[in-house]
Parts: sequence; structure tokens; C-alpha cells
Amino acid sequence: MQIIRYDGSFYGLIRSLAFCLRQRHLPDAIERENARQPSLISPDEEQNITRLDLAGDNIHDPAIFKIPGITNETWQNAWHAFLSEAGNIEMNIARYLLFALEKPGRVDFHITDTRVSNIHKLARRVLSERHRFMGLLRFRCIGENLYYAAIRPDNFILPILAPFFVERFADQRWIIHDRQRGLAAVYNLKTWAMIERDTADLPSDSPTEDAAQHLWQCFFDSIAVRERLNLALQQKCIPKKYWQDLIEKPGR
Amino acid sequence: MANILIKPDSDSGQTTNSLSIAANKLRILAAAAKYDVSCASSGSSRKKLPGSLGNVVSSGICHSWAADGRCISLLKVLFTNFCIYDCAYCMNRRSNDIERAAFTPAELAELTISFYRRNYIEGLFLSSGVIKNPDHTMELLLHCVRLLREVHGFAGYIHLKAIPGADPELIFRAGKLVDRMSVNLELPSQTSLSLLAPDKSKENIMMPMKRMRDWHLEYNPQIGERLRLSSTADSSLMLSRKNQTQSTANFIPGGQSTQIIIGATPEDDRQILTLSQNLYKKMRLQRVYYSAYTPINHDSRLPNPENPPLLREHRLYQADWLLRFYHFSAEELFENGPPNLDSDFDPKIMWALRHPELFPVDVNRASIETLLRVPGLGVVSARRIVQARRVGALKHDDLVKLGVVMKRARYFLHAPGSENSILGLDPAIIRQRLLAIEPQPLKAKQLSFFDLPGFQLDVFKDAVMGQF
Repeated sequence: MQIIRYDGSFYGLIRSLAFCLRQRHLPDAIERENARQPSLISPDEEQNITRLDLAGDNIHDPAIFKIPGITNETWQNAWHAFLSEAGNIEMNIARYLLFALEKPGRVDFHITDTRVSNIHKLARRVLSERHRFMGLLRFRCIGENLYYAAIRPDNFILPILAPFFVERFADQRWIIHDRQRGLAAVYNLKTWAMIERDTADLPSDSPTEDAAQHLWQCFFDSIAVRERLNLALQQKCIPKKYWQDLIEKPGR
Repeated sequence: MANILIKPDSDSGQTTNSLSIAANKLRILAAAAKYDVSCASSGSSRKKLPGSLGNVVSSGICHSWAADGRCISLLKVLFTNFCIYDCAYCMNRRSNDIERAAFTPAELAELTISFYRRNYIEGLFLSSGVIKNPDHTMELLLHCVRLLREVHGFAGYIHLKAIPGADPELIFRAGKLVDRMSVNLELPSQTSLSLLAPDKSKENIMMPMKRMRDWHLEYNPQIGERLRLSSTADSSLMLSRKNQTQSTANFIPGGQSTQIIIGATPEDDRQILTLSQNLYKKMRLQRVYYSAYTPINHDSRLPNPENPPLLREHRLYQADWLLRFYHFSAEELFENGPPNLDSDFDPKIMWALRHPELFPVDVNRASIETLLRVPGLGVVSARRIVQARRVGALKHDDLVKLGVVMKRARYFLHAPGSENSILGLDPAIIRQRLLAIEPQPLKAKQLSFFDLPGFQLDVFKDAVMGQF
């Protein structure tokens, strides 16, 4: 009976799995040592930003294990599927990677095989939620050139969402707070890092914030064509679970 | 012309609160822009300075959805709704007694930045009524765009209307700063234009469109290159690219779009789609938008439908998709058929029912172009089929595993293990059976872009995001 333990991060998972992968066999079980342990980095620690935009792990790239036959695309799929936090995801990733070793460079064509379609489906789910939050995330100004956003995503998208905002809002300081998981991505104009942040720790708005929010609501109401009112379609596009962290009020 | 806000019939009770003045202005100028259906933030790419504010995402991003179910991607406003023209269909025509307002370039630039920093929007969609004359209007728009790019260092998306009749030099300078420009055709023929928009002419609209096409090709070398390589390229479009090395910025890297109002004038679907096809091929437009006519003005020259023709608009979009992503031509969609699209079925099913000799299609042998013509197969499904069959022949059950929806495709697609008895059925019988599974009655109000032919996630990302 072989049980593999890992630290909760994707990099940790691959590090623990590497031996099995080289031996081409599947462990009997994979267990997390704790619920979630992202690689915590203090924001002061100097990080090269260009290294952070890897869609792989935050700072660790599984390609360093030099497991031949696994393409970048395959690593990415595994990493994105991992972020879904789906039940038994570790074993499913192990099966997918083992199959990848059997079909070097071609595993991702085998989309009728459940080992592959499973991972692809989860990766798509994660990426589409990320895409959704690229639009639905709302910053509030909470200080001099400092912005805060609360999100409650189903998947652990923070590690792949933050780099997008690093590029977009390169000249403003910001915090993206995953209130589902008690984690926050913090960007200080130079680098971003993931820190723990209590889900109840909500900062207060800056004095100019009300005016901006009022104008946005005003625009949101005026841009709808009333002759084409379609609240059902609106709700289909923005599911209710996302409403609470928006500024605008849908549904009217 | 700073801070104009004219409210007819009311001079009392005006609060001096600057926020409510700003809000009122925004309310008027957003409402005045809402009938422009384009809201795409996709299809552009521009280099940005590292560390600056904003970027563009080629797939586009929707930030919210309004109460009419349309995506909000850009801050869509008119610079002003004052207008010297009197177009019958337009709510801002000069003979209408409505609230009028105008931004100042600085005010609008600041509002855009304030929204952008909060991630409310992808950028700005700026159109305008024509104030004083076309040149003056275009100068104001250009001024605002320059403030955004040069003072605020804004690298997000900008869609700007080219004002017909404005000095080409102004349009050229604006096009070097923005991502996309558009001139709205509004009406599908010169006859309709002369009737309903007496101040405009087709020539007046087509001239800037042609110029922008030429500049777009000239100042986006990668597009010229693509055209040169494609055998179907119209050689007359190949222009001298002598300035290419001197130019530092691309000209409208996101290309041009236009809008046509549907149902205000008597043109049929065949005429409209033939026009669109010409706009895509000859004018190199990225998008043609269709806007179901909503009666706004009481005007004896206009029809007065109770509801906007949403189903017709939807069918036109489906057909437009077939032109752009499915290699169909407008002629094919209407050959041996009526000049209007069918109300019961999407145009691809109608085409397939008229061509029983081409079906069933063998899933393991057909080219991707052929697969794309199978009702029920979308771009994503077709691509997946082609990918999966590289590593083994596909059986009927595999198709289901790939996520292919067989509801319609099963009458047209052959794979080992498929139900042979329903393949090659008489089109009239297939029609009967398909009718039974079509949502009946098709509720026009519920239509969304999820219902487009073969709509799936990747197409959503590639093409639809930010489009409406």
C-alpha cells in the first residue's frame, strides 16, 4: 500500500508524484498534509515579476522535474484542473500524467478517454471562471492609489487571476481577497504575493468611492434598452452567486 | 461649450451638487448611445509600455450585463446628443424635444479612467451627435482620445465613431490612437437612406469606410502579409506599403465595424446578408451588427411595429455567423429558397434540408469544412472531432464523449454505431422530427448568444465575449 503525502500545493504534488511517474505506476492514495498551503511569500520579498506570470505554479515550474513526454500544454491542463479543488483531483492528475507518459506528446488528442476528458473538463471550468472574474471583479478605492476587491469564486483561481491584473493595473496598488478561502493576492507596484487574510477583514472605502459607484450604477441603469428588457438572460449571464460582490444591482 | 446641460421646461429644483450634475449628464448621454448595439472589446492587440495603465485582451471581456441581457464591456456614451441632423429613426434628431447634454473632453477622460481603475469596463466606446459641423465634432472626439492616451497613459480599449464628412486627416489621427473605428451604415440601401436620413448619403458613409480600410491595411503590415498569402485575396486591396517602416503605431488594429437597422425599411434578408458579405469581403469589416428596429419617433415614414423584430435579428446573426466562421456564402443560404430566413429553423438546418444529396457525412473522413456544415456541429465540436480522430477512428459513442450534441447532428452525421435508419431520411420527415425538438414557440425574448449555431465555450471566448 503506497500512500503519498504532499503539502497542498501543485508543485508539492508533482514533487511527491515524480518518483511514481518515473516508475510508471500509480500510488494507492494521495493525501494532503493540510487543507491548503499555498506557497506563502512575503510581499517584501523581491520577486522577479516576469517569473510570476508563469501559468504553472507561482514560482515553481513542474517542468524542472524533467519528466520527458509531458508537454507544456499537459502541465498547464494538470495545473488548471488542480485549481478546481475537485474531489480526488490528485489521483485523477496522477492517472492523466501516467497516461501522458504512455502517449508522449499526444495525450491531449485522446479526448474520448476519461483520464483526459476529466482533466480537460476541470481545466476548462477553472479557466472559464477566471475569465468571468476578469470582468466581474470590482475594485473599490480604499486609499491613495490603493484598491481592494473581494471575490468568492468556486475554484481556486487567485494564482492565475492575479497575474492578469498585475499586467492590467501595473500602476496601481491592489488587493484581491478570496473570501471563500481566506487568502489575498497583494500587488505593490513591483511584485505580487499571496498572503492569508481573514474573510471578515474588510477595509473601508476612500471618500471619493461613493461618487464613482453612484456614477457606475447610473450608467448601468441608463444603458439598458427597456423595450428589450430580459432579466432572465441577464441572470443567466451573471449568476446570482456573483451579485453580492458587484457594485451595480442587476435584476431590475 | 464646457458643461452644457440643458433641461427643457425645468429651471427650478436643479441641485447644484456636482455629483448629481455629472450623474444626470451620464444618464442622458448613456441613454442616447444605447441603441448602438456594438460593445465589442475584442480583436485588437497593441503594444503597451510596461508599467502603464491598461491593456487589451484579444478575446474581449464582458464586465456586466444590462437589464436587456446585453453585455457591458465598454463605457458606451455619446460625447454629445446635440445634433444638426434630422434622421427619422434617431432619438437624437434635432427636431426631437429632449434633454441635451455634452461632456468636455477632460471630464469624459477622467470618468473613463475612474471606471477603468475599478475594473468596471474594458475601455471607452465613444460616439457623438454632430455639433456645429463634422470637423468640429471629430476634433472634440480626437481631443478626448488624446487626453486618454497621452495624458493618462491609458492603454485600454477605445472604439471611436468616425463622423461622416469629417476631414480625413482628423480621422487618420484618431485611428492611430484607437483600437477600432466604425461608421454606421444604419440603412441597407441608398433609397432607404434618402428617405429616412436625408442629410446623409451612402457615399458620405462609404468614403470614410474605404479610407479606413486602406489605412488599416497599410499600417498593419501583418494583415497585408496575411492577405498576400491567402489565395483568395483581392489583389486590388494590396496597397503600397511604403509608409510601413515610418509608422510607429498601427491604424485601428481592431479593424472596423458597422451597424444596420433591421425592419425599418423593406429590404429582405437576402439583400441584407449580401450587403454584409460585401462589407466583409470588400471593406474588410470585422463585424456587421444588426439592430432590430425599435420605434422611438412618431414619423409617418416609419413602420410602427408593436415589438422590435428580435427573432429576425437573431436569425440574421446566425446567418452572419455562418458567413464568418462556417465558410458559407450569402448566395448558398438563399438558393432555391425564399429571400427571407426561416422562422422555425436556423439557416444552417434550412440549408442542409435543401441539400439531402450531401448527407450523411462520414465523421472519420469528412474535412473540417464539411463537418462545419453539419447541423448541430459547431466550431468547437468540429475541431474536437478532427483532433480526436488523429489518434483513432471515432464511433458514435465517442462523439457523445466529446461533448457533441447529437440532437440535430444524428440525422446528418454517420459514425460506426450510429442509428442508420434515421440517416438519409426524407428532408420533409427530418423537418417534422426536428420541429418536435425545437423550443416551441421560440420565445424571441429568451434568445441569447448561447443559442447561436454550435455555440460553445471556445467560440464564446474567441468571438462572442465582449461582442454585445
